[in-house]
Amino acid sequence: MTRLWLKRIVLLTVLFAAIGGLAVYNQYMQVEGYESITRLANNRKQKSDSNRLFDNANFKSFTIVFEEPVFAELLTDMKAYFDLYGTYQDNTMHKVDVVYSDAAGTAFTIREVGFRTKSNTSRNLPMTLDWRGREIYHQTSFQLQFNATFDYENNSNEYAVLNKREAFNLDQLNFEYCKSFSGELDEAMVSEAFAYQLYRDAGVTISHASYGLVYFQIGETVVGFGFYTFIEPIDQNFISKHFDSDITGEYGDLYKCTDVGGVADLGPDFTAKAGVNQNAINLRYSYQLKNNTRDGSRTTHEALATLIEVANGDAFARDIGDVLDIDQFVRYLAMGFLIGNTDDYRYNNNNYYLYFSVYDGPATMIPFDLDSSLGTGKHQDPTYQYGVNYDLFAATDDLAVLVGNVLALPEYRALYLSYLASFIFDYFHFDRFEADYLTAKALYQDTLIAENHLGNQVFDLRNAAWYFDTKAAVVTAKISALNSSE
Amino acid sequence: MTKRLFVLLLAVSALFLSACSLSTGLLTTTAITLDTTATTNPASTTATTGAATSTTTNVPTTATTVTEAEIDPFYAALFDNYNYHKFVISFSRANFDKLIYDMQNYRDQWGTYRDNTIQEVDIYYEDGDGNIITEYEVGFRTRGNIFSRVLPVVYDDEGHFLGYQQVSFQLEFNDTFDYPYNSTEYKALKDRRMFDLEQLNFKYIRSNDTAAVTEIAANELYRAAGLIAPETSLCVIYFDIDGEVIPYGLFTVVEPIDDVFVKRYFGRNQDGTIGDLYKCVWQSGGPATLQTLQPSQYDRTYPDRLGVSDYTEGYRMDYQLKTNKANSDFSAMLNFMDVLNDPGAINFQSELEKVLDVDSWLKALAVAFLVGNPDDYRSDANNYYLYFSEGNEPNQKAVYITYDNDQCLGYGWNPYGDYGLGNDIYSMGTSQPWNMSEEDLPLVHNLLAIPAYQEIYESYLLAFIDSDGGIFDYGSFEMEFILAQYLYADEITANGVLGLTTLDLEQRFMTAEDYYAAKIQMTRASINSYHN
Repeated sequence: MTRLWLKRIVLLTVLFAAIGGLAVYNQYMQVEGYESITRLANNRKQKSDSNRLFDNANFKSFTIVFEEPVFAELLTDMKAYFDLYGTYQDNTMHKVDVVYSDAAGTAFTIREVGFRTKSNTSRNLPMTLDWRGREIYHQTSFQLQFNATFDYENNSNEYAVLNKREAFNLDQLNFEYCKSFSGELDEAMVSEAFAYQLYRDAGVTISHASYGLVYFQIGETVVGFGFYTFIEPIDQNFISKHFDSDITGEYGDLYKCTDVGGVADLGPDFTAKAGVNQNAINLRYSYQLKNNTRDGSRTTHEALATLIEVANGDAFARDIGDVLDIDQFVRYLAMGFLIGNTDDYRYNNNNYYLYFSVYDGPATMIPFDLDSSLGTGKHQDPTYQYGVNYDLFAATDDLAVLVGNVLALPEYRALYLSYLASFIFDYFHFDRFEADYLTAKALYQDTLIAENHLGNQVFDLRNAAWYFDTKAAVVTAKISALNSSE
Repeated sequence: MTKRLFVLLLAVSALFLSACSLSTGLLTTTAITLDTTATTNPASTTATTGAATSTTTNVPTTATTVTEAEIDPFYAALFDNYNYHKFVISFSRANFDKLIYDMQNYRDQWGTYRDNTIQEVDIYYEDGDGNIITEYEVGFRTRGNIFSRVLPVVYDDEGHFLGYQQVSFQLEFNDTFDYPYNSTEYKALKDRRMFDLEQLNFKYIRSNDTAAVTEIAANELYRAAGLIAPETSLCVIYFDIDGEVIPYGLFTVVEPIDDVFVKRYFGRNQDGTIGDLYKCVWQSGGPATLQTLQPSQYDRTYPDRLGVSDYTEGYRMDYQLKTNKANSDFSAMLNFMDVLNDPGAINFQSELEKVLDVDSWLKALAVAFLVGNPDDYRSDANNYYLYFSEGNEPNQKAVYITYDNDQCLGYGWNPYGDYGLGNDIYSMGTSQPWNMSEEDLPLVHNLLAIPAYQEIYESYLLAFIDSDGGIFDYGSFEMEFILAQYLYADEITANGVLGLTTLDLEQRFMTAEDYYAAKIQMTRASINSYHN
């Protein structure tokens, strides 16, 4: 008994000593103008912060603070990568501070956050020198990693704090600017975030998204980087919020599926396209395993293989329900058809995640990258009508085997048509889009102009009313025609 | 509309006061004050739409796909002739010297200064609506043909610098210079537009055309007739070479005829593509008569008359393909020529109407006759574009698009001796009879042999010269001149300004007023001669 108490006293002593030591360490390390990283990790109500971040009616801004040498290093690393591979997809993490503020009165600084540029086509050098040596700034998509550990030793205090740090209840946060496609820009600005909202309305598991202003502070220079869409990343943090773990706390496999290494068409020739990216040598897979990457048993990609086998097999009708969350998938197809993103799985075998429930359960398809939606963006529609006249079961989805096979089954066709009708009735309304648009315009346009931000400054509804109204009318008419012919 | 009326009233008042003061020996100035407080965008290389303050729109009367709401406000402001325009083109000394060097080098190699090497410049634009745009790293090259393209500087026989001279030029807003494909600079520049255009042409105004608005008035006539023609306006140009400011004078701003142009006016084909666009000019292969070509003349590898020009190799086609350069098989144009040159075919007229927008061509022919440009298709098979816009290959209909009307309406080159006033509506000859006759011009000769087309052609002529609302009305020319005088006269008459320094309707060898009056009278007489 005495021994037990002694043990407890020693343990408590060690614990208090550790806490005291950490406090002294932090106090000692705190130089002028610099707050301890531990304070930033622990004193926020993250759920509230997250709610405010994804509240479209709340004015928000992020200032990314670079020390000049860090910004120079970012440029150097990206240029070196471009020289090697002809692309800027260098994912080296750079250390920044982040200042967040919003109209609800929230304002805080997050120290030592990881910054990297992201995306493929929208990834730019944030600054170049022109022919006269002037500094020209460019919008670029980027990611903040709140849990980046940089070069800290993995047994260090900093590592321990940073590795588990969240902000806004997120490990990371993605920032995307309004890109132009062939000189055409989404002047409505809110389209991508609204497309995410529509999927959520439809019951599809998908990221949260909102928008606001971004500033880069490089040394003492502050540059208005413009209007950005903030998007919740699909990562382990996301998975843990939306899916159950097993009793050991493990989650299933998550794949990011894009066309970086050939089309992600879920065709049988997938094995060479699946793997773990090695960005340092520009090795990227169309089916990129995003988690469980250190588990060697995952290199066989069994769950993915099973889905693909069923998707392309003779027993599709019998087995697909075991390997795919059909209801989610049909909801995705129905709302996706209305949103009209022609750079998605259905039309371009691109831009989706697959999450396989622990470990070989049904897969969930999670769409992402919705910047070509709702009547704007890159065209797959050769008539340049943004897909408003596409057939409900068109030949345009020939390549997407999962779409063709699912919609070939009467039960799922009916479900698809019923979702289309109900989504049009319940959610797919121009006035909802317009309300978000007007709110965003009122919140941001004057500042964008007054501060001469990069990118589009003037909001415009472009063809949005036409798109919503025409798409809804055409789909409704096609459903009616189908019903009357049956 | 209010602004237009206000400017017009000011302009007319100014002209009236000017006339009064001249008659009494007093000099009254009509200086225009620019609002330079408009929003600027100095830090960005890309023009944003944020600085737009213009409220005017200038809808082309012939637009088939562009609605008023879709017209970019800067585009509208640029081509609004009620609006003052000024450009400052900033060179580095090194770049300006390189421009000269490259042109001289090209001349040494190919015998002309028609080098199209692009040099980097910065652009500053301001207008009377208060719009101000600054663009960095824009492409600059000179323009013009064998005789009209000159160095922007003058040297004496021993190579000593004497001064600067005007030369027409082009700005390319989407030039990517030597930046590697997919680099940030490449992407930023490739998609860049200014005034909703990828490029913009600037033509100097010949110094003895004191009316200044000849080309503007001519193009306006085409548009007023319901035809597609490039937008034009006036501007003053300044060159700034590392701080040395050269008042480069009055220029006509001309909308380029390119892929942007055809999308703007014709839209896209149903499959999302655009049709073949040809620039048809008299080059080394001869006049662009549209007579049938031999296969060797449009050979993909070694063409000599129809194909894609390569200025770096010193050759330019007479029929220069400007769109679909990589994949066109020229079939639309070749088929068009085949049909056009077979007037003996039993079904010639119906076949012709499958490959040519006959009505717009007859309308253009009528306008061209009145405008009297001796350097167009009908006079010497030069200076026009053909766009094949509709239907499936090879039956895409050709649409004629006029350009380069700086010598017409009683001004400029005068091969007919009377600026074409006495030309017969059917038998007017050509401006270079030693090179070609009317029979060599199938687009006129073979069409006007058909009575039904004669009737349409004459009806257009009569409608255009109708004293009650006809578009061929000197009043519209005079109005353009009054505006030009009001907006630019003071600035271009200042010391040291290059080019045209006098704006005066009376100092032309033939006044425009006389030309319009005589042309109307003699056209009517020519028409009557066929019906008496």
